[in-house]
Amino acid sequence: MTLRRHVPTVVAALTLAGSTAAMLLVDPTLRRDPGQLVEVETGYQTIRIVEGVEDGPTPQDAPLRVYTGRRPVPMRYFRFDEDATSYQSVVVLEDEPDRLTLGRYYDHLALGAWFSGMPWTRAAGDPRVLLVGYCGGTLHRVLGHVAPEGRDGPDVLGVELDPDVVTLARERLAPLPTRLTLRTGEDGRAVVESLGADDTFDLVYVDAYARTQYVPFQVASLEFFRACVRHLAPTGAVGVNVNASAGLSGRLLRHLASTLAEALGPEGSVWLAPNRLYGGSATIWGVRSRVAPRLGAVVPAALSVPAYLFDRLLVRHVPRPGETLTDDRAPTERLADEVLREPEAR
Amino acid sequence: MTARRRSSPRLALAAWAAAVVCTVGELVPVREACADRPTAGMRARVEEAFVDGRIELLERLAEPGEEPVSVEPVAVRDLFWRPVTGPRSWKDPRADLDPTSVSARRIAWLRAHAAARLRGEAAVAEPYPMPTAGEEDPYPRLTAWVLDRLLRETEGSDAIDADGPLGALGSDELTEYWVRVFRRPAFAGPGADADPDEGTREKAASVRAGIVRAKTWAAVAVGVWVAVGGLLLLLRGRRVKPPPPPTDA
Repeated sequence: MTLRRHVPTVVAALTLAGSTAAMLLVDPTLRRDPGQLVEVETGYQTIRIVEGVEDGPTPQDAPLRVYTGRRPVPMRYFRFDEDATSYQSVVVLEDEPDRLTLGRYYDHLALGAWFSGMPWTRAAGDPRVLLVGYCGGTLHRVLGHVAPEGRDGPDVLGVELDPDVVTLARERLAPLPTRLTLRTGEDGRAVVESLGADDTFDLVYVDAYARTQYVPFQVASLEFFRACVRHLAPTGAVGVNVNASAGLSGRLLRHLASTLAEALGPEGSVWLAPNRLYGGSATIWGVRSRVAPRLGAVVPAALSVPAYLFDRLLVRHVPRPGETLTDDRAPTERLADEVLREPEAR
Repeated sequence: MTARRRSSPRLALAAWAAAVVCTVGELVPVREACADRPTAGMRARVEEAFVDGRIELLERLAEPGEEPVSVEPVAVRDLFWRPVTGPRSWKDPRADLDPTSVSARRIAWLRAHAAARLRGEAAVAEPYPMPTAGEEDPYPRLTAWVLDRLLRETEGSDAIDADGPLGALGSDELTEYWVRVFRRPAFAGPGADADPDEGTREKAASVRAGIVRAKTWAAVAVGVWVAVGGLLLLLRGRRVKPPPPPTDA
């Protein structure tokens, strides 16, 4: 009788002990990629630092021969939720800083700092940069590395929605560069709209993604790009990183480019630069002039391959009716899904 | 033997004289022919360096001289491809040398283009100069790359489906490699860089057929539901109301 009276207590105690043991002993990570160092669940997403080795291009004496040799390169990736092979920031773990990110889109975006008329092509000064989607600071690191000798490096205002992303990047990806003003916990759109009227930038980069491949609509609309253009220096450029697995005819790329074109108006122009080294990515460049952006005569050797591809692949974007995205109609997720489906159906 | 020995110096002298006369006679055409060969080689090397992306080598590889044809490659680079804003490393061609040649006309065009860029104008009205009838293009590959860039920068995304001026070069191995490995996949997407094998083609065809099938079934399903709904509505409209129940009043 006495024993039977204690049964509920014992069952409850065993259940509690079992649950506690399960919490403590079972691996709590949601994903476990090979080489994963750490996973953190934040208020916005799950973020991971992963190390791996990839087949990277070997430096060649001529850019055209870039595909002729490859070798294993140790890498560290910053991955978000569904990222399996993709990443949001990256660091090459080789002691060869000139290799930058092996030709990824960060290297191509960094070319903007070497457009004719930018401070680095002039006698003095450094570019002022707004970077929407800072993540682990890869683009900032690349820009710092390709700065001319004797300059201080780019002056960057970085915007990152998720504060834990920057914390983890600092701790486990790589140290963040200097000359950085960070605004975390704020949406890129809100930050751009809160800038002072005289706050201008030589380069405005938009590299904001959510759930791996989706451009948040509020940083893809005409209203957002108009706000960016308001803060663009006369010789400045807006650079947007876009997934473009369907090539230059992909609807996401075209819609974003047409939206930026409308924001720049008839005195501006928009240009498309596909990244052949990492197929499926392209940069949209918007400038305040109708003239194609040109690289200056002197471009750092580290950027020789991206510069070679820029010279030979840059295309003027010709907008078509109905492609402008607005705050009340910007189906970026549907467009992104179409981009992914299109090569499968080819 | 003695006679032969005695006549030997005279024979040798005659042979030597004949050789000298022949050599001098031959020398002029040979020299002219040779003079062409290194020039053609130099031009080919300049173009190869350009296609390879080693534009910093152009001065070193270009043929020396102050003629427009010697200056054309570096003028393309410094006035058009990667405009130089400061002092240039080359001298203007001499005005009295080949002033109407295609190279001279191109250098004038490149200057006009560079000046237009500085004024913020997208392009100059005149097309890029091409050789006149009977004139040879000294740098056909370089010209094709200039035309390709002009096409991309003017016609833009509406004009990149074809291989353009680079495709027209045809037999040039390096350019053909560029078009196949870089240009086409960059513009059309990563799937376009390789010729798909039979299995991939079949898979893609079955995916496309599946999409068409799914769309057809969806249309049929929607049609059936619309038909059923319409039928029900019709039946409801035709239904005769029952007479009101009889009352005692």
